[in-house]
Amino acid sequence: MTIELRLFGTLRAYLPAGHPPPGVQLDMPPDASIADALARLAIPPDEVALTVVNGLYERDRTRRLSDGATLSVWSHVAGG
Amino acid sequence: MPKTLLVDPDKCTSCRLCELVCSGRNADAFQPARAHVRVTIDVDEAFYFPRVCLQCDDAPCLDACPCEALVRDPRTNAVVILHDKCNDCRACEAACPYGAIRCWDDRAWKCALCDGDPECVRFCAPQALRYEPAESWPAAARQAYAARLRELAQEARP
Amino acid sequence: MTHAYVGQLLRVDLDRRQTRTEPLNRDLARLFIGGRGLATKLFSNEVDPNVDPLHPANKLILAAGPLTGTAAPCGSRFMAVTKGPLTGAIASSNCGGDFGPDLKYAGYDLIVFDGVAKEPTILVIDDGKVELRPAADLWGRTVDEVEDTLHTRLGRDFKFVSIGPAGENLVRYAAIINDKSRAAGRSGVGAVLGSKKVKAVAVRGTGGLTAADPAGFRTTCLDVLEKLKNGAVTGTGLPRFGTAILVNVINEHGAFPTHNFQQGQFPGAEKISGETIADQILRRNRACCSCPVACGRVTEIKGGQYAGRGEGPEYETIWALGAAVGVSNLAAATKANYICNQLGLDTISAGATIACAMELVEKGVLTEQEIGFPLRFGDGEALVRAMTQIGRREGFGDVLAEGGARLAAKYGRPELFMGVKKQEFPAYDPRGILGMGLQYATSNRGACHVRGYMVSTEILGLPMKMDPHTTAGKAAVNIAFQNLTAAVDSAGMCLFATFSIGAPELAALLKTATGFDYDVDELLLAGERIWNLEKLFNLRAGFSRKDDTLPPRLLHEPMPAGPAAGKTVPLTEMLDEYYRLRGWDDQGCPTPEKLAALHL
Repeated sequence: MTIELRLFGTLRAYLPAGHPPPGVQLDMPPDASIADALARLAIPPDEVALTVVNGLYERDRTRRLSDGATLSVWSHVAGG
Repeated sequence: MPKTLLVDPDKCTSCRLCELVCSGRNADAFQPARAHVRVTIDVDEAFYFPRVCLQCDDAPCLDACPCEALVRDPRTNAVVILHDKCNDCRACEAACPYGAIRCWDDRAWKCALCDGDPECVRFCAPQALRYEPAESWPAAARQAYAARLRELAQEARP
Repeated sequence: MTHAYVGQLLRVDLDRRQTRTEPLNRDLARLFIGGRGLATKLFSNEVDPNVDPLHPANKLILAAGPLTGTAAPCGSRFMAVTKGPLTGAIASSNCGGDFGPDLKYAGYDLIVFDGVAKEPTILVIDDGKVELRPAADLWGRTVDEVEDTLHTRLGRDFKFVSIGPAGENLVRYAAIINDKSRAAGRSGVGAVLGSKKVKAVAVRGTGGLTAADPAGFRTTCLDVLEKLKNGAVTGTGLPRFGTAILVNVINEHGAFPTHNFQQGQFPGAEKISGETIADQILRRNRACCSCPVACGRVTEIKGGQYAGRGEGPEYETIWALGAAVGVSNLAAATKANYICNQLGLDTISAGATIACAMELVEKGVLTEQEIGFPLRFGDGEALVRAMTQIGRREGFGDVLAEGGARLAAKYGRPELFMGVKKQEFPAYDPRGILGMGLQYATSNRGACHVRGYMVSTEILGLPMKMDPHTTAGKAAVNIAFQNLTAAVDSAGMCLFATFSIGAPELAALLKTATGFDYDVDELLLAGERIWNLEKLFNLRAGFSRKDDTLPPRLLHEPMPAGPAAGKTVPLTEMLDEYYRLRGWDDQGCPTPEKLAALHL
């Protein structure tokens, strides 16, 4: 399956070199979890502060993603 | 070897917390006018510059004092003012090329490095002010800082 | 009253060109803390709630809090309290920078302006020496010109608040500006100063402030400093990317109001995000006095038609001058921000009013002939042009200067105004963050995010995570946030500090600074007291339950797409619960028992 992983804040550093922000398409096995997707780009789990799947907050990083999902992650967030 | 109060102006964010805690400790009030560290701020030029006493090796203030009220503290290498000897003649204030001495309440006042634990350093979140071994401040950077400090002091004089 | 407070306020009688000093009432200071709370107490004691906001009998109070100017990290704030020309409700606009601290070093906690000057005037306070000076030559000048001129004329070490042409021209959302770029922005406080012919206030002071318990205060300040440095938001997020880091956060949640709240996601979000601002235009951070966070952005647009230098944009601004009006050109939006600062306009209401006009054009209700130029979503050039016209009330800017509510009503489409109590919404669509809907409806100064920032819990998970798409528990949390925020504002503390500290730290700061024996309960009770006092003023000014509502679009039109697709705001159920938990009747009036419990 294919998912889109979008990186924000300081996590931008983990985008593949030269890749435009915010996200990359990833081919993942059908039962892949949030953690698997983060591992694909070698993002250290403790650098991720906020995880959002299809616009909804998701605390559980073992949750499986579905085909076409958008996973958005932030290092640090802030208020306005 | 005593440490030195090192200034990295590029890291300053212009918050002036150093002025507040310095005066809080050394003047018993949150009173930037009496702080030994002062920050020059020019937002148009994105220029922030904390001004501190360099505790010069060859200190003009020490030489200028006629009543031996200024002495070197060997523990910290700071030039400190003995207030019971100071007669408010202001010779030290005039002698300092960096504007680091101010006169209040019939006495001269300057930075004494808080006896080796500078309060400004303790509160500087961006670490623009640090208290480190002298060699961590490269000579070129220290000279550039001193030159700019002297210019700002001259501009501030009436 | 010798600690933290200066202990005196300045009364400025503009009719008689007289000033006098008055001691601060110690009992009132304890009950209402200072800043927003104490100013609201004085204001509601002294001003008829039915006064026309632009009439000389309306007063305007600039008020620092007890922590303002002390070493309390993030304690730099002052408030402008008056009756708002945009809303007709109590207005209290918060501002940081250096003015608040220096007002106290110069000798005053508060300044109360009354009446109207015969000619343009500035108030100069130089170490307790107070003078009203004629300033006809400054009238018509931008904020930058005023500050530069007064720096030359009075001295480099003066600090200022001033109004731009927008305040002089009584634009209903004119701001009071401090340090060239910091705004007491909302509700038109700048127009009130303009109506009084006060162009600027200059302060310089060499005085100092003490803490009642210096050692205890220092320990508490160090504790707060460590928490601010180590907090993810205050230690890294805000310093690195500024508040506009939120652009992508809110957009990804589908609650980023686009094209006057017609959609919840903006395709151009990435181009105006905090990340892009940091990459492309950031010169340096800028901190308010005593703030270890430094979220301010000193920026520059190099070259091209939008070239310029200044501060900003922060999150609400880049939304109002970006997604709200469909502009994804960061240079154009930033230029519009600089113009707002120089002319003295609230960026939120200015951008949102232009967005409302753009929808009226899109719907064919308002024609380009009337406006004098094309005004369509996405047109950065039109945005900049409209902004300049608003500040000077030139051309169609004269209509836009009245705000979105009056604009939409004038063209027979009042439902297209996106706001509450005639004040435009900030940058969150409550259909995707339901608690914000309740917050907007109940805010005492009209639509506002900084009276009870539900985004913190519903989106950011601070201090705990709540589901943004349900209503359960929202009323109780919103009330707690509103009460705490009232106390924070009154203390002189920046609201952003509460991402990393809470009521216990604030109570400890206040207790050790003032010597008043505050604890968490008394602090939150003071916040509740202030909130109820503001509510009472509004009730006497003619507001009622029917005004605690949202535009029909948010109540009845489902969000068209994105993560919040299909959502509307179920306001009535939240509002009923809110009134009940507040101890108010079903019309939103505080009960006699509640008022007695609050000593009101």
